[in-house]
This record gives sequence, structure tokens and C-alpha cells, in this order.
Amino acid sequence: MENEITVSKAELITEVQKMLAQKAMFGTATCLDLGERFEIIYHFELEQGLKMRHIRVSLAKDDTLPSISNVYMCAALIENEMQEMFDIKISGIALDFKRGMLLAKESPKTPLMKGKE
Amino acid sequence: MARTVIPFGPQHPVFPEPIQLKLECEDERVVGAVPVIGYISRGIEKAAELNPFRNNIFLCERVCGICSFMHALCYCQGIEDMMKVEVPTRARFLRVFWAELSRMHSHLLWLGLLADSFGFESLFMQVWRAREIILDISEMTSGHRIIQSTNVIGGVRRDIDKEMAKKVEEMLVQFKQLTDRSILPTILNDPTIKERTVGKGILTKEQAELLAAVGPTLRGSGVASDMRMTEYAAYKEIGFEPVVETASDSYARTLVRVKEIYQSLDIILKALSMMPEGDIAIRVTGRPEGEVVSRVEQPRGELIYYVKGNGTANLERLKIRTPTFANVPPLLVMLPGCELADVPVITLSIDPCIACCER
Repeated sequence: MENEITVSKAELITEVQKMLAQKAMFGTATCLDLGERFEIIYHFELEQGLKMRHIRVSLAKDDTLPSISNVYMCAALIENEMQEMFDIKISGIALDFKRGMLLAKESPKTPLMKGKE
Repeated sequence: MARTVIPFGPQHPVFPEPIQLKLECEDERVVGAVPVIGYISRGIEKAAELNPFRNNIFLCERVCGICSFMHALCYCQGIEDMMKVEVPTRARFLRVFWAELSRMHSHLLWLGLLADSFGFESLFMQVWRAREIILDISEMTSGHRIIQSTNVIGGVRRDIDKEMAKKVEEMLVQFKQLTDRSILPTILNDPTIKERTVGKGILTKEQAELLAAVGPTLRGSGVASDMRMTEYAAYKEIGFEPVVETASDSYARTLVRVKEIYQSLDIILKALSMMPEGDIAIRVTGRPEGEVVSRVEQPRGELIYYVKGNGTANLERLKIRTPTFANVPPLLVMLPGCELADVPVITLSIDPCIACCER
């Protein structure tokens, strides 16, 4: 995708803070299950939404991702959703639903992971 | 003062769909709110990975009934972008026609529900009477009152001939006369509406930007952001300027939507008059490979589709970010400080669509 950068887990918060400093609005985040690892793409919008910028992070499946909700509080909902749908571990979410935001107790667990058909 | 937690919903007369707000109150004043969602999550993103990509149009149309056309449009534009398909010009104008028709009936639905939420039943009935004209146009041009289902990958599946276009114009004149006479003066002048909406649910421009509000919720706080400014479909040829209000309250969000109804009417008339002759779709072969982000302006705000294809008939991933999902955090900032009786109006002021939100 255009206007995309790839960063490490350690650089994520710094890059997100740079987006905030540029008055970028948070769009959403997309999680991809690539088998051995997850890939998370954070989508931001600049210039009243006319332009987009994407930050891509790769994460081992047993690793933990820092939450960006302390920078962009509105990211808390999508981070909760990613935890529920992908079993990805995210630390420090501002509003943590403890994997009970969208799925009911009897729902299939982590349904968006590959091989869950 | 002791605090009480009051569950607002999931079943409540002002909510057409189930959502709960846990309201923390001091006496009658709200001091905090936590959303409880998940009552109608249907796993549509997963289903989209299991369907052939062409069938996903019908799936996307069912993310939300009211915005069905917009979901299909956003999906088709994403696939077309990925497959480097150039849609015929006439099809792009026809897409604008149905998109704006959808916006009109969505805003009118919302306006009726808002009137109903504070007991203004006669306004509710007037608004929904006017909305019937728009639904009749939808049925006449697409075959269905709500789910038009006219998008295909590569264009649209239905055309509008000159005779039908003339009939549409006549019906829109009738709609405008009815709205001018019985709806607009009430919205602009009635003290009851202002009493219930002015100064209620304040969302400052800074809050709206930081919390990533979208659509009329964002534009009602003075931010000129609308995905139609990105000139998708035929908005470049037709021209577009966003409607913006600066008061940042529930009344400002109401005015944005009412003005957008008139704006959509103008856009539809322009689309019909400027639409060139030609094909309405091209045949698309092959399978999508790559990844794109597609965005359109739904009635409730910006809709984002992330689409990843892997060269097979099935998509690798379809991610949908709906406007209501984006407008929940701003709602949580609007509510603290309000009276309990204002919660229905403030909640409705973001035009919540829970089916969209949970997918």
C-alpha cells in the first residue's frame, strides 16, 4: 500500500506519537494471521482524511504488543476486537473488555485465526 | 454523592437495535458511561474469507440494511482498485445516484427516530411520509425499497433511462416541496427541538479529531472532512463541498444531516443531468491479488474496507471499519455531565447502527 512504513514492536509507540504530533486521526487497525506470526496494520488519516498513512508491525504469535490506546484512546475498541478475534496479546489497553466485547461465552474462540473454519 | 450504575438498554424504545450503555450517575446526572456491545455480532469478516469474492457483494450488503449500497460500493471499489479495473463513466454516475438516495433515506429515517425519541410524533410522521417518496424512487430504479443491490464488480447491474430519470426528477420536486413546507421550518424554528438538542452532547473540535469521530458527528464539530472529497465514483465531475456546523452539539449534528438531505437531492439531479451515455459495466475476469484500502462516505460517516486477495477465488482477509464503531468513543465523551433524560437524544445524535458496528 502507498504511504506505508514497517516498524518493529519497540518502535511502534514512538511512531504512533509522531502521528499524533502531526494531528493525524486514527482510522482503524487490521490484524492478519500469517501462520507463524501476526501482522498488524495501523491506518491513520491526515489532511481531513484526504490522505492515509499505514504503520505495519510484525509480531510473533507468543509475543505481546503494546497498546496504542494511551496515545489514541479510540484505538481501545479495535485492540479489544483483535484480542478476541485473533488471540493476540495486547498489554495496557485503556478500556479492556477481557475478551468479552463482541463474542459471547459460548461463541467460537478466536474465529478469525486461520484454520478455524 | 453516592453513584449509581444504570443499565441503559440493550432493549430500549429509542434503540432500533440492541446496545447497552452502563451509565454511572450522581442523582440524575451522568458522570461516566461504558458501552456493552456484542449482541448481534455475526462474524461477517470470517464469512467473507469463506465465500468466493464475487459473492461477497451480497454479504457486504447485509452488514447493514440501511447502508447496504454503501457497503457494496466500498467493497466493489476495493476489488476494482486491486484488479486495476476502470469502471465505465455512466456506471460511476449511477453509483452516485444510488449512494445519495441511500443517504437521503438514511438521514430521514434517523430524523424521524430523533423526533420520536423526544415525543414529537407529528414530526416523526411527516419525516417518514417524505421518506416514502425516496423509497418509491429506490424501488422504481432498483427494484427494492432499501437493499438496492445494483453494484457489481466492474459497474452496476441496472440502468436508468430518460423516461425514468424524468419521473425521478418529478418525485424529487414533490419531496422538496413537502420537506420545505412541513419539515425544514420545524427543524429550524421549533423551540421543543432546540430545547432538547441545543447544548446537549458537546463534542469539541479537538475531541472529535483526537477520538476520530466520523461523518455528521465530526462535521457537526466544525471539521470539514467527508470521503466524497476524495472524488471517488463521479464526485470529481459533479463537484462536492462538505456540510459543516460549528456548534458541536446535538443540534449541530441534526443540522448537518438536514442540510445533507438537500445536498444529496442536488447531487442526484446533477448526476442525472450530467450522466453520459454508455456501458454500465465491464466484464471482469481474473482473481484479486494484493491489498488495498477502500473508503466511501456512508450516511453515518467514513466506511473503511481493507481487502487482501491472494490470487484465488477467496479473499485472504476482509476488514470492515464502520462509522458507528468509530463514533462510540466520541459518544462516551459526550455523555458525562448530561441529565439522564438527555441520554436518548445524545446517543441518537451519532445515528448509531449496531448491526454495522458489530458486523
